[in-house]
Amino acid sequence: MTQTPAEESPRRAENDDALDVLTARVRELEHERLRLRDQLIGSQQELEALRTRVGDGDAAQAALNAQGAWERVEALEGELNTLRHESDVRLREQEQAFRASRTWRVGHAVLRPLSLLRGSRSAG
Amino acid sequence: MRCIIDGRGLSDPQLDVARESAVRAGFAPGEIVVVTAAQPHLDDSLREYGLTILRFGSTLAEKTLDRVREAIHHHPRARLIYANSLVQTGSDASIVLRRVAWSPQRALVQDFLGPAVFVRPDVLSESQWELLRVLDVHALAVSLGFEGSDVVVHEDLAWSVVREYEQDQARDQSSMAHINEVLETRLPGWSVVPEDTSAGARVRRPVIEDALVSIVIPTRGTGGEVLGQEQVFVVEAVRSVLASSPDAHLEFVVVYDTATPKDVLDELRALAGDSLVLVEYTRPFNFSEKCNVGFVHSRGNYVLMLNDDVRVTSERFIEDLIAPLADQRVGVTGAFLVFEDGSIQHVGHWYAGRSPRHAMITQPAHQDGPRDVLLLDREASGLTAACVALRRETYREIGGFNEGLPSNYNDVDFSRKIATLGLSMVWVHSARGYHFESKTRIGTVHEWEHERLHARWLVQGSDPFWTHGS
Repeated sequence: MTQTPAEESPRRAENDDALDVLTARVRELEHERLRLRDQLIGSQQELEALRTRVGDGDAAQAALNAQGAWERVEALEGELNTLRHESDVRLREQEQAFRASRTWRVGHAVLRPLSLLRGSRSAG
Repeated sequence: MRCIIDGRGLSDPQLDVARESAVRAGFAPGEIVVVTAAQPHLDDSLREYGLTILRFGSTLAEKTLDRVREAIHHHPRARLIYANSLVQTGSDASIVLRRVAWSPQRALVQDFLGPAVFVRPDVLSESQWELLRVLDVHALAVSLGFEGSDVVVHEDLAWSVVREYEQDQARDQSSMAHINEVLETRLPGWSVVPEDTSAGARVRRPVIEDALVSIVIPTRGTGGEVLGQEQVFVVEAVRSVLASSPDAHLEFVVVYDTATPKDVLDELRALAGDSLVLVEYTRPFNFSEKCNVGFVHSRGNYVLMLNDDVRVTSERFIEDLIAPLADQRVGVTGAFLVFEDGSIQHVGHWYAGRSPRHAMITQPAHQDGPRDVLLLDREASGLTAACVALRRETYREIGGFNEGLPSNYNDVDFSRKIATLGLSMVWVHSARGYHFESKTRIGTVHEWEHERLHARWLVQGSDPFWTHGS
C-alpha cells in the first residue's frame, strides 16, 4: 500500500523531530562524558599532589599534617573509585534508558534503511 | 665508560685543555679518545662502552664522571642524556646555563643539547650508530626522540664549561641532511629547510589532507574599536580565518549567548554559509562550558578553540596550526599572538611560582627572542586557550576544559592535562594573529581560582622550557 503526500508529511515531521531529540541526547551524553573525564583526571592529580606535599614537608610539619592529609588522601581515593564506578553506571543507565525510549526506536527505524543501503553499497 | 673529544677543527693547545678537563672530570688518560679531522669517525670497538662526548671545543666540569654515572642510574631508559653548562664570568666566577627540557619539535631546527652529552651506543640501531660514528649527536637525538619521551633526557646539573652562550650554537649542514633522513622514515613529507634568519632553518610540513577542522568560537557578539575601526569581534575573527585559509575544510561552531544581536548572527550566516553551526548558550558565563558545548556540536577530526577577539593575520594559519599534529607526540598547538599595539600577548605559558604567566608578555614582537625562540616552533609548558588546535580524540581524552574554572586558568589546567598524556604543547611561530584581549577582558584572578588550580597541580619552581637564555 502506498502513502499519499498528505499522509507522508506528518510522518516525516515526526521522524525529523525524533532525530533532533536523538542528536541532542547524544550531545548531552558526550558533554557528560567530558565532565566525568575531567573530574577523573582532576581527582587523580589531586591525590598525587597531596601525596607529594606530604612527602616533601619537613619532619615536624609532616608530623603535624600527615594524619589529616592521609585521611584526605584516603577520602580522595574513595571518591575516585566511586566516581569511576558512577560514571560507568550512569553512562550505561542513560544509554539503556535511551535505547528503550520511543525516540530511540523511531530514530533507529528512520536510520535503519539508510544503514542497510550503505551496507549494500559498501558490499557491492 | 669512555670520553670522546670532538677535536675536529681544534688546535693542539685547545685539545690539550679539553683533555686535561676530561682527566679532572674523572676519566683515566686511557679512557679518552680524540676524534680529529684526519680520523673523523668513531671506531666500532667503542660501541660496547658508554660514551661521554665533549663537543664544540668546550671543557668538562670537574668530577663530571660521577654526575654522569648518577644520571645513568636515575634515568635507566635514557639512551642520550644532556646537561647544563657553567658559563665563566670571571677567573673564579661562573653562572649555570640551564638547558631546556627535551623538546622534539625545537630540536628539528635547533641543537640545544650543549657540549657534554652521554650516549649508550649498545642500544642504538644501526642507523643511529652511524649518526654517532660521525659524531652527529644532534641528528641522533632527533632520531632517538621518536622512541619515547624518556629516551632523550635533560639532566639538571652542569657537566661542561663554556665561555659564552653562543659557543654551543654550532650549525651543521650535514646534520640537517641527517635529520631529513630521519624525518623521511618517521614523518613522511616533513623536512627541515634552510631559512635566512638567525635560526637558520625551519620545518616544512605537508597539509593534512583529510582534515576537517572545527573552529569553536564562544561569543557574546560584542564589538569595539580596534585598529582604528569599530568592529564586531566574532564576525572579523571568522572573516580573517576564511581569508587566511581559503582552501581549508572548515566548520565554524559559534556558541553564542542569548543576548547576541540578531544582525551579528545574520552576518555570520552570510559569511560562513553552510559551514556555520550556531549554538545558543543560555546559562551564566562559563568559558570552559561554552567550549565544551561547542565541541560536542562539532564534527571535525581536528578542533581549534578560538576566542572571538582573535584576528588571524598570517597566511595558511589553520594549515600551520594543524600540520604539527600529524606528529603523534604533539598534543596541542598554539599561535603567536600580539596585542593591538603589536607587543607580545602569547608565545607560550611560563609556569614558575604560584601564578602561571605568559612568557615575554608586552615585549616587542619584532625580535628573534633569546636563543631565537620567536623564530622556531617549540615546546612550551602551556598554551593560551584563546587559540589552541588539537586532535578530536585528545580533547575527548582529557575531558575538554574544566568547567570548575569558568574564567581564569582553564587553559593552564587544560595544558597540564594534556601533559599527563605524555603529549607536548607546541607553539607555532608562523601562525600569527592579534588578540585584542585587553579590549574585552578584565584580568582579575580570584584566590579560589588559585586554590582550585593548585589542588590539582603542584607549583613548579621553574619552567623547564623557559631557562636562562632559553
